[in-house]
Amino acid sequence: MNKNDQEIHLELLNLQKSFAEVNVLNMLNMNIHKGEFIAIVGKSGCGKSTLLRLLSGLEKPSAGEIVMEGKPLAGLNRQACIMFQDGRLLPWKRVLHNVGLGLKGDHQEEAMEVLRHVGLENKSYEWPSRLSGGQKQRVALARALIHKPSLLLLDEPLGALDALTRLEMQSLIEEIWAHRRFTALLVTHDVEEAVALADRVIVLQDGKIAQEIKVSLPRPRGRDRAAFASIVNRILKQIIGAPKPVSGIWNEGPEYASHSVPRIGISSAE
Amino acid sequence: MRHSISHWILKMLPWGIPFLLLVLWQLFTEAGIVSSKILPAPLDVYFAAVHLMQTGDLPHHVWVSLWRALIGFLIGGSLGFVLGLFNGLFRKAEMLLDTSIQMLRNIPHLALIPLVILWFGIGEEAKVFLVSLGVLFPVYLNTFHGIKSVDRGLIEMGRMYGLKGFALFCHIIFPGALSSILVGVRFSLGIMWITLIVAETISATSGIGYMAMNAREFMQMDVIVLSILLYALLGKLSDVIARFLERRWLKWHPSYERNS
Repeated sequence: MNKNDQEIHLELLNLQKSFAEVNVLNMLNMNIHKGEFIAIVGKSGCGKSTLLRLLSGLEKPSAGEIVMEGKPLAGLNRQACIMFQDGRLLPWKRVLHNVGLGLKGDHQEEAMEVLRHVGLENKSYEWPSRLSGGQKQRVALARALIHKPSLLLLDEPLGALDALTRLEMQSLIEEIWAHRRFTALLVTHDVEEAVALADRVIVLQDGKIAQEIKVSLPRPRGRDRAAFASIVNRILKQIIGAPKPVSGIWNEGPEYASHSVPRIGISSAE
Repeated sequence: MRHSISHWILKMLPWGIPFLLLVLWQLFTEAGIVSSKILPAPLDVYFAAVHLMQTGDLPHHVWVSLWRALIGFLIGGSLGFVLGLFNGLFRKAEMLLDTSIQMLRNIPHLALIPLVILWFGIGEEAKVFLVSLGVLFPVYLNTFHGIKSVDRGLIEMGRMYGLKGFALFCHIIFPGALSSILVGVRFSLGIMWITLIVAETISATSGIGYMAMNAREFMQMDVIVLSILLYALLGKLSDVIARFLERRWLKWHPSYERNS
Protein backbone atom coordinates (compact mmCIF):
# COMPACT_ATOMS: atom_id res chain seq x y z
CA MET A 1 0.00 0.00 0.00
CA ASN A 2 3.04 2.21 0.11
CA LYS A 3 4.70 3.32 -3.07
CA ASN A 4 8.07 3.64 -1.32
CA ASP A 5 7.72 0.11 -0.08
CA GLN A 6 11.10 -1.01 -1.25
CA GLU A 7 13.15 1.91 -0.03
CA ILE A 8 14.95 1.09 3.19
CA HIS A 9 14.89 3.87 5.75
CA LEU A 10 16.53 2.26 8.73
CA GLU A 11 18.81 -0.70 9.13
CA LEU A 12 19.68 -2.26 12.44
CA LEU A 13 22.89 -4.24 12.16
CA ASN A 14 23.82 -6.67 14.93
CA LEU A 15 22.53 -4.11 17.37
CA GLN A 16 23.46 -4.79 20.95
CA LYS A 17 22.95 -2.88 24.17
CA SER A 18 23.92 -3.96 27.62
CA PHE A 19 23.62 -2.27 30.99
CA ALA A 20 26.02 -3.56 33.65
CA GLU A 21 26.81 -6.77 31.80
CA VAL A 22 23.17 -7.58 31.18
CA ASN A 23 22.25 -7.76 27.53
CA VAL A 24 19.06 -5.81 26.97
CA LEU A 25 19.24 -6.04 23.21
CA ASN A 26 21.00 -8.97 21.68
CA MET A 27 22.26 -9.01 18.09
CA LEU A 28 19.23 -7.33 16.62
CA ASN A 29 18.94 -7.22 12.83
CA MET A 30 16.06 -5.52 11.10
CA ASN A 31 15.19 -3.41 8.08
CA ILE A 32 12.56 -0.74 8.23
CA HIS A 33 11.11 0.72 5.05
CA LYS A 34 10.33 4.33 4.42
CA GLY A 35 6.86 5.25 5.55
CA GLU A 36 6.32 1.96 7.31
CA PHE A 37 4.43 1.73 10.59
CA ILE A 38 6.13 -0.72 12.91
CA ALA A 39 4.82 -1.76 16.30
CA ILE A 40 7.04 -3.37 18.88
CA VAL A 41 5.39 -5.39 21.59
CA GLY A 42 6.71 -7.51 24.40
CA LYS A 43 6.73 -7.90 28.15
CA SER A 44 8.23 -5.12 30.26
CA GLY A 45 11.99 -5.36 30.32
CA CYS A 46 12.21 -7.00 26.91
CA GLY A 47 14.25 -4.09 25.60
CA LYS A 48 11.63 -2.33 23.52
CA SER A 49 12.04 1.12 25.08
CA THR A 50 15.82 0.73 24.88
CA LEU A 51 15.50 0.14 21.15
CA LEU A 52 13.63 3.44 20.75
CA ARG A 53 16.21 5.28 22.81
CA LEU A 54 18.95 3.89 20.58
CA LEU A 55 17.07 5.00 17.48
CA SER A 56 16.61 8.50 18.88
CA GLY A 57 20.31 8.72 19.67
CA LEU A 58 19.68 9.27 23.39
CA GLU A 59 21.71 6.13 24.08
CA LYS A 60 24.64 4.63 22.24
CA PRO A 61 24.66 0.96 21.22
CA SER A 62 27.19 -1.26 22.97
CA ALA A 63 27.89 -2.97 19.68
CA GLY A 64 26.54 -2.97 16.16
CA GLU A 65 25.07 0.05 14.45
CA ILE A 66 22.02 1.80 13.16
CA VAL A 67 22.13 2.95 9.56
CA MET A 68 19.68 5.64 8.57
CA GLU A 69 19.29 6.48 4.91
CA GLY A 70 22.65 4.92 4.18
CA LYS A 71 24.52 6.77 6.93
CA PRO A 72 25.46 5.33 10.31
CA LEU A 73 23.75 7.14 13.17
CA ALA A 74 25.99 9.11 15.50
CA GLY A 75 24.85 11.40 18.27
CA LEU A 76 21.27 12.65 18.54
CA ASN A 77 19.06 11.66 15.66
CA ARG A 78 17.99 14.98 14.17
CA GLN A 79 15.40 13.47 11.87
CA ALA A 80 13.60 11.65 14.63
CA CYS A 81 11.14 12.91 17.18
CA ILE A 82 10.16 10.90 20.19
CA MET A 83 6.90 10.93 22.10
CA PHE A 84 7.08 9.69 25.68
CA GLN A 85 4.46 8.07 27.87
CA ASP A 86 4.49 11.12 30.14
CA GLY A 87 3.98 13.97 27.69
CA ARG A 88 7.00 15.87 29.04
CA LEU A 89 5.45 19.25 28.41
CA LEU A 90 7.11 22.23 30.06
CA PRO A 91 4.63 23.35 32.71
CA TRP A 92 5.93 26.95 32.57
CA LYS A 93 5.23 27.42 28.89
CA ARG A 94 1.82 27.85 27.35
CA VAL A 95 0.67 25.16 24.94
CA LEU A 96 1.65 27.20 21.88
CA HIS A 97 5.20 27.76 23.12
CA ASN A 98 5.55 24.14 24.13
CA VAL A 99 4.79 23.21 20.56
CA GLY A 100 7.31 25.73 19.25
CA LEU A 101 10.08 24.56 21.58
CA GLY A 102 13.47 24.47 19.90
CA LEU A 103 12.33 26.37 16.81
CA LYS A 104 14.10 29.55 15.88
CA GLY A 105 12.36 32.78 14.99
CA ASP A 106 8.63 33.37 14.98
CA HIS A 107 6.88 30.04 15.10
CA GLN A 108 3.44 31.06 16.35
CA GLU A 109 1.62 30.59 13.07
CA GLU A 110 3.24 27.27 12.39
CA ALA A 111 2.48 26.08 15.90
CA MET A 112 -1.16 27.13 15.54
CA GLU A 113 -1.36 25.18 12.31
CA VAL A 114 -0.11 21.95 13.91
CA LEU A 115 -2.34 22.48 16.91
CA ARG A 116 -5.25 22.69 14.48
CA HIS A 117 -4.20 19.31 13.08
CA VAL A 118 -4.44 17.69 16.47
CA GLY A 119 -7.68 19.53 17.26
CA LEU A 120 -6.37 21.80 20.02
CA GLU A 121 -6.29 25.25 18.42
CA ASN A 122 -8.63 26.58 21.11
CA LYS A 123 -6.22 25.56 23.90
CA SER A 124 -3.15 27.28 22.53
CA TYR A 125 -2.90 29.79 25.40
CA GLU A 126 -3.63 27.35 28.23
CA TRP A 127 -1.06 26.18 30.74
CA PRO A 128 -0.33 22.45 30.34
CA SER A 129 -1.54 21.80 33.90
CA ARG A 130 -5.06 22.71 32.74
CA LEU A 131 -5.17 19.98 30.09
CA SER A 132 -6.42 16.41 30.37
CA GLY A 133 -4.10 13.47 29.82
CA GLY A 134 -5.25 12.99 26.23
CA GLN A 135 -4.90 16.69 25.43
CA LYS A 136 -1.38 16.70 26.83
CA GLN A 137 -0.43 13.87 24.51
CA ARG A 138 -1.98 15.74 21.59
CA VAL A 139 0.26 18.70 22.41
CA ALA A 140 3.26 16.35 22.61
CA LEU A 141 2.28 14.97 19.22
CA ALA A 142 1.99 18.46 17.76
CA ARG A 143 5.39 19.35 19.21
CA ALA A 144 6.88 16.35 17.41
CA LEU A 145 5.06 17.02 14.14
CA ILE A 146 6.14 20.64 13.83
CA HIS A 147 9.70 19.40 13.25
CA LYS A 148 8.49 17.37 10.28
CA PRO A 149 10.36 14.25 11.41
CA SER A 150 11.02 11.50 8.91
CA LEU A 151 10.93 9.09 11.84
CA LEU A 152 8.42 9.29 14.67
CA LEU A 153 9.23 7.23 17.73
CA LEU A 154 6.31 6.54 20.03
CA ASP A 155 7.29 5.20 23.45
CA GLU A 156 3.98 3.96 24.83
CA PRO A 157 2.45 7.39 24.36
CA LEU A 158 -1.06 6.15 25.06
CA GLY A 159 -0.22 3.89 27.99
CA ALA A 160 -1.51 6.27 30.64
CA LEU A 161 -4.77 7.17 28.91
CA ASP A 162 -8.22 5.75 29.51
CA ALA A 163 -9.61 3.28 26.99
CA LEU A 164 -11.85 5.69 25.06
CA THR A 165 -9.24 8.45 24.80
CA ARG A 166 -6.75 5.85 23.67
CA LEU A 167 -8.99 4.77 20.77
CA GLU A 168 -9.42 8.41 19.76
CA MET A 169 -5.68 9.02 19.85
CA GLN A 170 -4.99 5.86 17.87
CA SER A 171 -7.12 7.02 14.99
CA LEU A 172 -5.58 10.50 15.18
CA ILE A 173 -2.08 9.03 14.96
CA GLU A 174 -3.10 6.77 12.09
CA GLU A 175 -4.69 9.66 10.22
CA ILE A 176 -1.66 11.91 10.60
CA TRP A 177 0.69 9.11 9.66
CA ALA A 178 -1.33 8.32 6.53
CA HIS A 179 -1.29 12.01 5.62
CA ARG A 180 2.38 12.78 6.30
CA ARG A 181 3.99 9.46 5.39
CA PHE A 182 6.76 9.43 7.98
CA THR A 183 8.18 6.18 9.30
CA ALA A 184 6.64 5.34 12.67
CA LEU A 185 7.87 3.07 15.42
CA LEU A 186 5.40 2.41 18.19
CA VAL A 187 6.34 0.64 21.38
CA THR A 188 3.31 -0.61 23.22
CA HIS A 189 1.97 -3.09 25.76
CA ASP A 190 -1.33 -3.20 23.99
CA VAL A 191 -1.33 -5.91 21.34
CA GLU A 192 -4.64 -4.69 19.90
CA GLU A 193 -3.21 -1.22 19.47
CA ALA A 194 -0.24 -2.72 17.66
CA VAL A 195 -2.38 -4.73 15.28
CA ALA A 196 -4.75 -1.81 14.67
CA LEU A 197 -1.97 0.56 13.63
CA ALA A 198 1.05 -1.30 12.35
CA ASP A 199 2.09 -2.68 8.97
CA ARG A 200 4.38 -4.99 10.83
CA VAL A 201 4.32 -6.15 14.45
CA ILE A 202 7.60 -7.20 16.03
CA VAL A 203 7.52 -9.29 19.19
CA LEU A 204 10.64 -8.73 21.26
CA GLN A 205 11.66 -11.31 23.80
CA ASP A 206 14.85 -11.19 25.87
CA GLY A 207 16.34 -8.65 23.48
CA LYS A 208 15.68 -10.69 20.37
CA ILE A 209 13.01 -10.69 17.72
CA ALA A 210 10.81 -13.60 18.64
CA GLN A 211 8.18 -13.08 16.00
CA GLU A 212 7.47 -10.79 13.11
CA ILE A 213 3.98 -10.50 11.72
CA LYS A 214 2.89 -8.56 8.65
CA VAL A 215 -0.55 -7.09 9.08
CA SER A 216 -2.15 -6.48 5.72
CA LEU A 217 -5.72 -5.77 6.80
CA PRO A 218 -7.31 -2.74 5.11
CA ARG A 219 -7.36 0.52 7.11
CA PRO A 220 -9.07 1.69 9.21
CA ARG A 221 -9.15 -1.73 10.80
CA GLY A 222 -12.34 -3.00 12.35
CA ARG A 223 -11.49 -4.77 15.54
CA ASP A 224 -14.53 -6.97 15.48
CA ARG A 225 -13.32 -8.89 12.44
CA ALA A 226 -12.17 -12.47 12.81
CA ALA A 227 -8.92 -11.85 10.95
CA PHE A 228 -8.03 -9.07 13.38
CA ALA A 229 -8.74 -11.21 16.41
CA SER A 230 -6.75 -14.12 15.09
CA ILE A 231 -3.66 -11.95 14.58
CA VAL A 232 -4.01 -10.53 18.08
CA ASN A 233 -4.29 -14.03 19.48
CA ARG A 234 -1.27 -15.27 17.62
CA ILE A 235 0.84 -12.47 19.05
CA LEU A 236 -0.49 -12.90 22.57
CA LYS A 237 0.26 -16.57 22.40
CA GLN A 238 3.84 -15.77 21.52
CA ILE A 239 4.25 -13.21 24.29
CA ILE A 240 2.64 -15.15 27.07
CA GLY A 241 4.19 -18.39 25.91
CA ALA A 242 2.68 -21.73 25.11
CA PRO A 243 0.45 -22.67 28.01
CA LYS A 244 1.68 -25.58 30.08
CA PRO A 245 -0.78 -28.44 30.01
CA VAL A 246 -1.37 -28.67 33.76
CA SER A 247 -5.04 -29.45 33.45
CA GLY A 248 -7.07 -29.90 30.32
CA ILE A 249 -8.50 -26.39 30.46
CA TRP A 250 -5.42 -24.55 29.21
CA ASN A 251 -4.87 -26.36 25.97
CA GLU A 252 -6.26 -24.07 23.32
CA GLY A 253 -4.21 -20.98 22.60
CA PRO A 254 -6.69 -18.50 21.16
CA GLU A 255 -9.33 -19.16 23.78
CA TYR A 256 -6.80 -18.92 26.53
CA ALA A 257 -5.72 -15.55 25.27
CA SER A 258 -9.15 -14.11 24.83
CA HIS A 259 -10.22 -15.19 28.29
CA SER A 260 -7.23 -13.97 30.18
CA VAL A 261 -6.48 -10.63 28.55
CA PRO A 262 -9.12 -8.13 29.55
CA ARG A 263 -8.12 -5.50 26.97
CA ILE A 264 -9.84 -7.46 24.25
CA GLY A 265 -13.09 -6.42 25.86
CA ILE A 266 -12.48 -2.81 24.85
CA SER A 267 -13.15 -3.43 21.19
CA SER A 268 -16.70 -4.61 21.84
CA ALA A 269 -17.43 -1.33 23.62
CA GLU A 270 -16.30 0.67 20.63
CA MET B 1 -23.43 45.50 46.03
CA ARG B 2 -23.63 42.85 48.73
CA HIS B 3 -21.04 40.89 46.85
CA SER B 4 -18.54 43.76 46.89
CA ILE B 5 -19.05 44.33 50.64
CA SER B 6 -18.38 40.70 51.49
CA HIS B 7 -15.38 40.81 49.18
CA TRP B 8 -14.08 43.85 51.05
CA ILE B 9 -14.56 42.18 54.43
CA LEU B 10 -12.69 39.14 53.19
CA LYS B 11 -9.79 41.29 52.05
CA MET B 12 -9.59 43.01 55.43
CA LEU B 13 -9.81 39.77 57.41
CA PRO B 14 -6.02 39.28 57.91
CA TRP B 15 -5.85 42.71 59.54
CA GLY B 16 -8.65 42.00 62.03
CA ILE B 17 -6.49 40.63 64.84
CA PRO B 18 -3.74 43.31 64.66
CA PHE B 19 -6.39 46.01 64.69
CA LEU B 20 -8.20 44.47 67.67
CA LEU B 21 -4.91 44.20 69.60
CA LEU B 22 -4.15 47.84 68.84
CA VAL B 23 -7.52 48.98 70.19
CA LEU B 24 -7.15 46.86 73.35
CA TRP B 25 -3.62 48.16 73.85
CA GLN B 26 -4.79 51.78 73.65
CA LEU B 27 -7.67 51.13 76.06
CA PHE B 28 -5.45 49.31 78.60
CA THR B 29 -2.81 52.04 78.69
CA GLU B 30 -5.40 54.81 78.86
CA ALA B 31 -7.11 53.11 81.78
CA GLY B 32 -3.76 52.82 83.53
CA ILE B 33 -3.88 49.03 83.71
CA VAL B 34 -0.56 49.00 81.84
CA SER B 35 1.96 51.60 82.94
CA SER B 36 3.33 53.80 80.17
CA LYS B 37 6.81 53.02 81.55
CA ILE B 38 6.26 49.40 80.56
CA LEU B 39 4.43 49.99 77.31
CA PRO B 40 3.55 53.36 75.75
CA ALA B 41 0.11 53.85 74.24
CA PRO B 42 -0.19 53.36 70.48
CA LEU B 43 -1.09 56.99 70.05
CA ASP B 44 2.11 58.04 71.86
CA VAL B 45 4.07 55.84 69.47
CA TYR B 46 2.27 57.51 66.60
CA PHE B 47 3.11 60.97 67.92
CA ALA B 48 6.74 59.94 68.35
CA ALA B 49 6.75 58.85 64.73
CA VAL B 50 5.28 62.17 63.60
CA HIS B 51 7.81 64.07 65.68
CA LEU B 52 10.76 62.09 64.30
CA MET B 53 9.43 62.56 60.78
CA GLN B 54 9.45 66.32 61.32
CA THR B 55 13.01 66.33 62.64
CA GLY B 56 14.04 64.13 59.71
CA ASP B 57 15.55 61.47 61.99
CA LEU B 58 13.09 58.77 61.09
CA PRO B 59 13.49 58.89 57.27
CA HIS B 60 17.25 59.04 57.75
CA HIS B 61 17.47 55.95 59.97
CA VAL B 62 14.99 53.95 57.92
CA TRP B 63 16.83 54.83 54.73
CA VAL B 64 20.19 53.78 56.21
CA SER B 65 18.79 50.44 57.39
CA LEU B 66 17.02 49.80 54.11
CA TRP B 67 20.16 50.55 52.17
CA ARG B 68 22.27 48.17 54.29
CA ALA B 69 19.67 45.44 53.93
CA LEU B 70 19.44 45.85 50.17
CA ILE B 71 23.17 46.02 49.46
CA GLY B 72 23.85 43.05 51.74
CA PHE B 73 21.03 41.09 50.15
CA LEU B 74 22.21 41.86 46.64
CA ILE B 75 25.82 40.87 47.34
CA GLY B 76 25.04 37.73 49.37
CA GLY B 77 22.08 36.72 47.23
CA SER B 78 23.93 36.96 43.94
CA LEU B 79 26.94 35.12 45.35
CA GLY B 80 24.69 32.35 46.67
CA PHE B 81 22.82 32.21 43.37
CA VAL B 82 25.96 31.99 41.25
CA LEU B 83 27.53 29.37 43.53
CA GLY B 84 24.32 27.35 43.57
CA LEU B 85 24.10 27.61 39.80
CA PHE B 86 27.64 26.42 39.22
CA ASN B 87 27.51 23.60 41.72
CA GLY B 88 24.11 22.51 40.47
CA LEU B 89 25.14 22.55 36.81
CA PHE B 90 28.70 21.28 36.94
CA ARG B 91 29.59 18.15 38.81
CA LYS B 92 33.24 19.19 39.12
CA ALA B 93 32.38 22.54 40.70
CA GLU B 94 30.15 20.72 43.17
CA MET B 95 32.95 18.35 44.12
CA LEU B 96 35.35 21.22 44.57
CA LEU B 97 33.15 23.66 46.48
CA ASP B 98 30.18 22.01 48.13
CA THR B 99 31.98 20.52 51.13
CA SER B 100 33.61 23.85 52.01
CA ILE B 101 30.35 25.72 51.64
CA GLN B 102 28.55 23.22 53.84
CA MET B 103 31.20 23.69 56.54
CA LEU B 104 30.92 27.47 56.43
CA ARG B 105 27.14 27.25 56.40
CA ASN B 106 27.10 25.56 59.78
CA ILE B 107 28.81 28.47 61.54
CA PRO B 108 26.10 30.80 62.88
CA HIS B 109 26.98 34.03 61.10
CA LEU B 110 26.03 36.14 64.10
CA ALA B 111 28.80 34.40 66.06
CA LEU B 112 31.21 36.28 63.84
CA ILE B 113 30.15 39.70 65.19
CA PRO B 114 33.17 40.17 67.51
CA LEU B 115 35.49 39.22 64.68
CA VAL B 116 33.69 41.41 62.18
CA ILE B 117 33.88 44.43 64.50
CA LEU B 118 37.62 43.93 64.80
CA TRP B 119 37.96 43.60 61.05
CA PHE B 120 35.71 46.39 59.86
CA GLY B 121 35.10 48.50 62.94
CA ILE B 122 31.49 49.59 63.33
CA GLY B 123 31.21 51.08 59.83
CA GLU B 124 28.90 50.10 57.03
CA GLU B 125 31.10 47.23 55.83
CA ALA B 126 30.51 45.24 59.00
CA LYS B 127 26.72 45.26 58.62
CA VAL B 128 26.75 44.66 54.90
CA PHE B 129 29.20 41.80 55.38
CA LEU B 130 27.05 40.14 58.04
CA VAL B 131 23.85 40.51 56.02
CA SER B 132 25.54 39.14 52.89
CA LEU B 133 26.85 36.16 54.80
CA GLY B 134 23.48 35.42 56.34
CA VAL B 135 21.65 35.70 53.04
CA LEU B 136 24.15 33.69 51.00
CA PHE B 137 23.44 30.22 52.32
CA PRO B 138 19.67 29.97 51.98
CA VAL B 139 19.88 31.28 48.42
CA TYR B 140 22.77 28.90 47.67
CA LEU B 141 21.08 25.83 49.11
CA ASN B 142 17.77 26.40 47.36
CA THR B 143 19.30 27.29 44.01
CA PHE B 144 21.51 24.22 44.16
CA HIS B 145 18.65 21.97 45.19
CA GLY B 146 16.30 23.53 42.63
CA ILE B 147 18.68 22.84 39.77
CA LYS B 148 19.44 19.34 40.98
CA SER B 149 15.77 18.49 41.12
CA VAL B 150 14.78 19.65 37.64
CA ASP B 151 13.08 16.70 35.94
CA ARG B 152 15.74 14.79 33.97
CA GLY B 153 13.04 13.74 31.53
CA LEU B 154 12.39 17.36 30.58
CA ILE B 155 16.10 18.01 30.01
CA GLU B 156 16.30 14.92 27.83
CA MET B 157 13.26 16.05 25.89
CA GLY B 158 14.78 19.50 25.41
CA ARG B 159 17.99 18.01 24.05
CA MET B 160 15.94 15.86 21.70
CA TYR B 161 14.33 19.03 20.32
CA GLY B 162 17.68 20.68 19.70
CA LEU B 163 18.17 22.74 22.87
CA LYS B 164 21.61 22.87 24.40
CA GLY B 165 23.85 25.11 26.44
CA PHE B 166 22.35 28.47 27.29
CA ALA B 167 19.05 27.81 25.50
CA LEU B 168 18.57 24.62 27.50
CA PHE B 169 19.28 26.60 30.68
CA CYS B 170 16.86 29.41 29.80
CA HIS B 171 13.95 27.29 28.65
CA ILE B 172 14.17 24.30 30.96
CA ILE B 173 16.69 24.35 33.82
CA PHE B 174 16.16 27.86 35.19
CA PRO B 175 12.35 27.86 35.03
CA GLY B 176 12.38 24.41 36.59
CA ALA B 177 14.51 25.60 39.49
CA LEU B 178 12.77 28.95 39.91
CA SER B 179 10.18 27.97 42.52
CA SER B 180 12.90 26.55 44.73
CA ILE B 181 15.10 29.63 44.21
CA LEU B 182 12.23 31.88 45.28
CA VAL B 183 11.77 29.83 48.45
CA GLY B 184 15.43 30.59 49.16
CA VAL B 185 14.88 34.29 48.50
CA ARG B 186 11.91 34.44 50.85
CA PHE B 187 13.81 32.63 53.55
CA SER B 188 16.83 34.85 53.18
CA LEU B 189 14.74 38.02 53.41
CA GLY B 190 13.82 36.98 56.93
CA ILE B 191 17.44 36.33 57.80
CA MET B 192 18.38 39.68 56.26
CA TRP B 193 16.25 41.63 58.76
CA ILE B 194 17.26 39.53 61.77
CA THR B 195 20.95 39.99 60.99
CA LEU B 196 20.51 43.70 60.52
CA ILE B 197 18.61 44.14 63.78
CA VAL B 198 21.30 42.36 65.76
CA ALA B 199 24.17 44.11 64.02
CA GLU B 200 22.62 47.57 64.37
CA THR B 201 21.74 47.01 67.99
CA ILE B 202 25.26 45.99 68.95
CA SER B 203 27.30 48.47 66.99
CA ALA B 204 26.03 51.36 64.91
CA THR B 205 25.79 55.12 64.74
CA SER B 206 22.70 55.18 62.57
CA GLY B 207 19.86 52.95 61.45
CA ILE B 208 16.70 51.69 63.09
CA GLY B 209 18.59 49.51 65.57
CA TYR B 210 20.72 52.46 66.63
CA MET B 211 17.58 54.56 67.02
CA ALA B 212 16.17 51.98 69.43
CA MET B 213 19.38 51.64 71.45
CA ASN B 214 19.75 55.40 71.63
CA ALA B 215 16.19 55.78 72.83
CA ARG B 216 16.86 53.21 75.56
CA GLU B 217 19.53 55.53 77.02
CA PHE B 218 16.90 58.25 77.41
CA MET B 219 14.06 55.92 78.40
CA GLN B 220 12.05 56.92 75.31
CA MET B 221 9.70 53.97 75.40
CA ASP B 222 7.65 55.27 72.47
CA VAL B 223 10.70 55.41 70.17
CA ILE B 224 11.79 51.90 71.18
CA VAL B 225 8.37 50.49 70.35
CA LEU B 226 8.31 52.51 67.15
CA SER B 227 11.60 50.89 66.06
CA ILE B 228 10.28 47.42 66.72
CA LEU B 229 7.14 48.20 64.74
CA LEU B 230 9.25 49.52 61.88
CA TYR B 231 11.12 46.24 61.66
CA ALA B 232 7.82 44.37 61.60
CA LEU B 233 6.54 46.59 58.81
CA LEU B 234 9.68 46.32 56.72
CA GLY B 235 9.73 42.55 57.20
CA LYS B 236 6.14 42.33 56.07
CA LEU B 237 6.91 44.58 53.10
CA SER B 238 9.73 42.35 51.87
CA ASP B 239 7.50 39.30 52.26
CA VAL B 240 4.82 40.99 50.17
CA ILE B 241 7.37 41.74 47.45
CA ALA B 242 8.60 38.13 47.47
CA ARG B 243 5.04 36.83 47.20
CA PHE B 244 4.32 39.21 44.38
CA LEU B 245 7.33 37.87 42.48
CA GLU B 246 6.22 34.29 43.13
CA ARG B 247 2.76 35.03 41.77
CA ARG B 248 4.19 36.74 38.76
CA TRP B 249 6.88 34.27 37.81
CA LEU B 250 5.15 31.06 38.82
CA LYS B 251 1.74 31.79 37.41
CA TRP B 252 1.91 28.57 35.42
CA HIS B 253 2.00 26.65 38.70
CA PRO B 254 -1.43 25.33 39.74
CA SER B 255 -0.91 26.41 43.36
CA TYR B 256 -0.27 30.04 42.39
CA GLU B 257 -3.11 30.21 39.97
CA ARG B 258 -5.52 33.03 40.65
CA ASN B 259 -9.21 32.32 40.76
CA SER B 260 -10.53 34.14 37.78
